[in-house]
Amino acid sequence: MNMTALLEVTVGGVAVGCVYSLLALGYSMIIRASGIIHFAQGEVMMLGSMCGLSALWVAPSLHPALVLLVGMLAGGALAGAMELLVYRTLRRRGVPLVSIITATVGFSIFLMNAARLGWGSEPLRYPDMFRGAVEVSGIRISPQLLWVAASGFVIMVALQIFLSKTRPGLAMQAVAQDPDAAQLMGVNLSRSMAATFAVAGAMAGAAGVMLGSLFFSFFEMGFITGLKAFVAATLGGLGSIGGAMLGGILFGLIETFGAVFISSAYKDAIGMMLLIAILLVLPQGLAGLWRRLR
Amino acid sequence: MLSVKGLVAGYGDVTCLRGVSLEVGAGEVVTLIGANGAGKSTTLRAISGLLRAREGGIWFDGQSLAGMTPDRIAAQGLVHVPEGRRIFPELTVEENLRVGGHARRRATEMRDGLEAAYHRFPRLKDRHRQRAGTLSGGEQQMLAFGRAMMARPRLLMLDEPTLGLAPLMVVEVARAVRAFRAEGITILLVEQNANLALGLADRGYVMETGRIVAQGAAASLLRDPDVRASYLGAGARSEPQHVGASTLEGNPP
Repeated sequence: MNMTALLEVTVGGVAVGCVYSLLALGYSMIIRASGIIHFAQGEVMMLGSMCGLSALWVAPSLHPALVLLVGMLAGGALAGAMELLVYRTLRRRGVPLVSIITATVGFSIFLMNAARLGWGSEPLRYPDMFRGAVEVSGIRISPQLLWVAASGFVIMVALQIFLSKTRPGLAMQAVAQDPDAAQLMGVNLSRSMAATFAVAGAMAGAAGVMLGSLFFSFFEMGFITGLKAFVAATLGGLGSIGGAMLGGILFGLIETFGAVFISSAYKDAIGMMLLIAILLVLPQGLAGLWRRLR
Repeated sequence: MLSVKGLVAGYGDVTCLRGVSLEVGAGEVVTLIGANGAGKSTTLRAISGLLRAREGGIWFDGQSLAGMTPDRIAAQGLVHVPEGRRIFPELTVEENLRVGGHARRRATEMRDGLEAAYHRFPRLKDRHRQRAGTLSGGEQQMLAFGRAMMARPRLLMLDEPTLGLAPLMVVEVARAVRAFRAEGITILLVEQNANLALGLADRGYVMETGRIVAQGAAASLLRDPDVRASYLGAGARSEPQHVGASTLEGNPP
């Protein structure tokens, strides 16, 4: 493998990894705040992808950042509505957590079929939002990959700033760590919980636009990607924000290099074996390892 | 200022409070003492809205708190510092304080609040970027106090603020309670260290198995033979039992 190929694969792995990171962040934020494993997260991503694509159909010259924003708004609105209309009601009625998690699987299947109805069952190509290639010291890199990786980093940095510097962001963190104490400090629990779902959904929507622009949009795209992002979140340590970011990128690299060096036909299997291995060896993920070493 | 009448509450099938009534007047320091499991913490949880009352009523400044969520009750100025301090361990000291100042929407209000908290507890300023979970027990208690100050309390409910603290930190806690009072903040103090609590309070209530069994001026409760026998250690001559009021007035070691 020469330098050019190595760089290409690495950038590709990081770009796909950013998609996993954004999705994994959503899983982690939601599980921390509510205890729910949100299995419909992949479908929120898929619908973000579809909405971004539809925006491009309507306005072909739309700036990529705005396409991303459309995906984020769609994902955020969808996940926020799911929490407000369904999960919150289930919680208030004292439905056990396991049953609520089952409901998220139901949502996943429902949304997949709804998308099939709306956008059809054929994979839909995103128009090229970028042309040409970027050259880094003589090595050509696809601008699509760079765009995806850069957007991923920008969104993750923005999320960090939101969570640690703003009033609603700090309230969300407080609710995740100790909901009773947060309420005693004047934080409205249901508002903060809905905000958590909305932000997690926005991350997923962005991931959808990014993944769609790399490959295509497809009503089933959220299923396996969502599962893999869940593996990434577990790799990072479920519930850990930093862990989710790192886990996603690491998982993207492992998968991409695995496809190149082992076999691309088995890359999904490699990912799932990794999940079992992590659970056996590192049940707390990278975040747990970091805590132990410190 | 705070008026609780016939409060009945519990968890699931277990009834912990069987008709609790108490009053806290503006500017007073009132203590609620009693053995472990008597229902002191449950009473505070019901007042702050974390636990729904089954019967009875709670009024703050004449307004009924029935059905209000904890965040709305806190917004009225009735702030509860729960047992075990319950700081946010993964947030920094300053982020904890900012969460306490959730109602301070303007940047200047937040800054003033932070300044006041750091002035009161200079230790927090030294550690403002440190994760709260890495603080010592005493520092965490100071952070819990500082965080509650950020919420602009008019009445502070303190649940076991000295639990598990070294004697020197107990002195600090007592000093902080006196400072709150000097600022005009009304206090409802729950303590297992009855000596300390009655030393700080104007009046006291004694709780037993979900009921108020005695009440009166703190000084007279301190002299009451039953209270002495049950909560102050009969005879109360042995050194450890006297950590409270008397030592506190003296010089810290």
